[in-house]
This record gives sequence, C-alpha cells and structure tokens, in this order.
Amino acid sequence: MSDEAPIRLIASADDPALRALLEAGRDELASDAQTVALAAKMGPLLGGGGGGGAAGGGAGPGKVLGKVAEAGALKASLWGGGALALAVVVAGVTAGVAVRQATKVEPARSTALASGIASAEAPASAAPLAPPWPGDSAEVAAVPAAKAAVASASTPTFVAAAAPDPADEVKLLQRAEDALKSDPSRALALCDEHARRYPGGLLGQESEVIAIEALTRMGKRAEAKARAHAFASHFPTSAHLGRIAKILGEDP
Amino acid sequence: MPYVWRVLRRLGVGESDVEDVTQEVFIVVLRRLADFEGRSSLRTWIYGICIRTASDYRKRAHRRHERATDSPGTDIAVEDRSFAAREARAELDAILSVLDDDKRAVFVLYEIEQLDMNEVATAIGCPLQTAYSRLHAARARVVEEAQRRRQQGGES
Repeated sequence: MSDEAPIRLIASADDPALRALLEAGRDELASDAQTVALAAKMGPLLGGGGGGGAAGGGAGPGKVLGKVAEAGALKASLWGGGALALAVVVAGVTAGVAVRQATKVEPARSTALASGIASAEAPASAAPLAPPWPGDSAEVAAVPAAKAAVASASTPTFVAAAAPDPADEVKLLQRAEDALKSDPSRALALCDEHARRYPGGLLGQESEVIAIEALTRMGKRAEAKARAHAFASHFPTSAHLGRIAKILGEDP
Repeated sequence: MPYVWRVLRRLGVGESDVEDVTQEVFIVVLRRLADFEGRSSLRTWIYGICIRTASDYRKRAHRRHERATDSPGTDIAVEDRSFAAREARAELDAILSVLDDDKRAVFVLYEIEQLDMNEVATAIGCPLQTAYSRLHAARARVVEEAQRRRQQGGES
C-alpha cells in the first residue's frame, strides 16, 4: 500500500464516465426551493435579515457576499471568541443562498425568498395547515415580515431586525439542557421561557425536545407523550424524532 | 456552507431529508462549538460532524424502513435542475451505496470534497494509514461497480 496520495479519480483520465459522475456529484447545490426553506430555518441566526440582499438589481454575487461577510463579522464582534467561527459558518450558508438568488433577478423568486425568511419569524404564515405550535405566535409576525419583504424587493442591504441576539437563545437552551439531570423542573421552566422569548427561534425544536425529556424525568409521562405527539405531527421529518423516541423508550 | 448539503447527499441522505439533517448538523455545531479546540480547521471539524450525523441518519432511516435515497422525479424542489446532472448524481449515489459507511466517508471526502488525506483522517477520527487503506479499497470497489453497472446497462 502506498502512502502517496493517489491522483483523484476526478482528475484522472482512466475512466471518463466515472469522472463525469463525480463531477456531477461535486457540482450539486441545493435547489432554490430548498435554499429558501433552509434560509427560513437559518435566517434567525443572522438576525432575520440574512437573505435581504438577494434580489438587489445592481448587486452582483460578490457584493452580496461582502454584505454577508460584514454581517458575519458584526455578529462575530458581538459574540466574541468561539462564536467567530460560527458566524463565519452561518455567513457561508447564507452567502450560498444569496449568491444563487442574486444570479437570477426574478421577482417571483425574490418574493419567495422574502417569505421564506419572514416565515422564520412568523411560521404561522408559512404553514397554515399545521396545528398550533408555541413558535407560531402572531405577535412577532407582521412587522419583521413586512420589513424583510421590502428589503429583498429593492435594496441590497440587510435588515437590522429587532430579533433577540441568537447567542442568548443558545445560552438559554444550554442552561436548560445542563439542568435536565439535576433539576428537570427548572429545565422545563427554561424551555417555557425560551418559547416566550424566542417564538419562531432557530432552536424551537431543540427546546421542545429538552422539555419532553424534562417532563419524562419529572414522571409526567402522559404530558411528555402528548407533546411528543404534537411535535411529530408538526415536524414529521424532524431529525429529532429519533431522540424523542429514545427519551420515551419507544422504537421510532 | 453549501458543502454541508452536498456531502450529506453523497453520504446517502435522501433529498427530502437533507434539509432536516443540515439543520441537525447546525444544531450540533452550535452546541459543540465550545469544544472546538482548533486542532483541525473548522471545515474539517464540520465534515466530521456531517459524517457522524449522516451515519446516525442512515441507521435511523434503516430502522424506519425508509429509503435513504429518493427515486428521481418525486420532489418538487428539483424543478429547475438539469435532468442529465440529476441522473448522473443518482447513478453516482447508487455506486457509492455499495460502500460501507467507513469507506464511503473516506471516498467522498477525498474524491468529491477534495480534502487532503491528513484532513480526511482527522475528520473521520482514524489513523492516516487506516484512511489510506479505506481509500484504496473504496476506489477499487467504486471503479468495479461503475463498470459493472455500465455493462449491465449496455446489455439491456
């Protein structure tokens, strides 16, 4: 066996057909609909305005990227230390969305993106058929949604949303998770606080999982099961369903 | 972070699930950021999280008897993709699916994500020699499977 790194198949002429397949695999990006959905989930990390620059007529991808990097740098300076890395990561995701959108100046798609971003703050408008959910609070809906729509319709600037600092959201839930074993009722109270302070926040699902585990640990199994059921019907494809089943001791 | 999406797809996460799994990767990144010690690049560290998350997903999908990869044409999200590229990716994923998880991860990181072998070993958390032997085995298996599928396609 050789220790030399072999020439990559993608750069080798031995099997052109396989090489073409590898290139197709390398070139895959999320589709527009998928990036919109993802932006809706990730948007709050950038203060709700992550995709705002997408549709600016005069904004080339480079300019949008610059804006995203600025937003990331701003967040980084607010968060300090390890969060710098995260801000860069998040900026990277949104840059991917922004660049792809910026390359197609197409009103219908821009509107779709705006509503995607807005729906992160107002899930009710995005999922009218879903059952009520703590995150679907009407009080956060109207103003940010309108702001996001206006911003993405014409200007390449980021909306300075009145959203709470996502770093605080993360910290709150970390406290909840830390309290799970020693004091589950406190963990539950922190999850309730999360629902109040961050309706439609990035970690809504995470918060609910912690709450379900807290209820289980407090012996309130029926309530835990009811909330797990509501969770499953609201997020039927959530990656957290496995963990919830584990908490309840059920086969997923 | 478009590479998260792509690497999850190549590691066998179905198209209809990749959004949720990407979100899961993000949550893990958020939660473990305090543990990131800078011993590898952030990118390499995130690849490691992708591999573990995709592996968990595949086990889950198997238990639920779900398909880990979608059949073409079932997803409205793919409306504006080129059919040829989509076919090519479906073929590639079919070939990759003959690899076990360990070999698939090494192959995808080296051949598609184009990490160097030190980064591959770090992301996966295995010795460099192990990464090399998995890569050699994976390449042989992929080339063989690609040829087998072509021959089969030619005969029918």
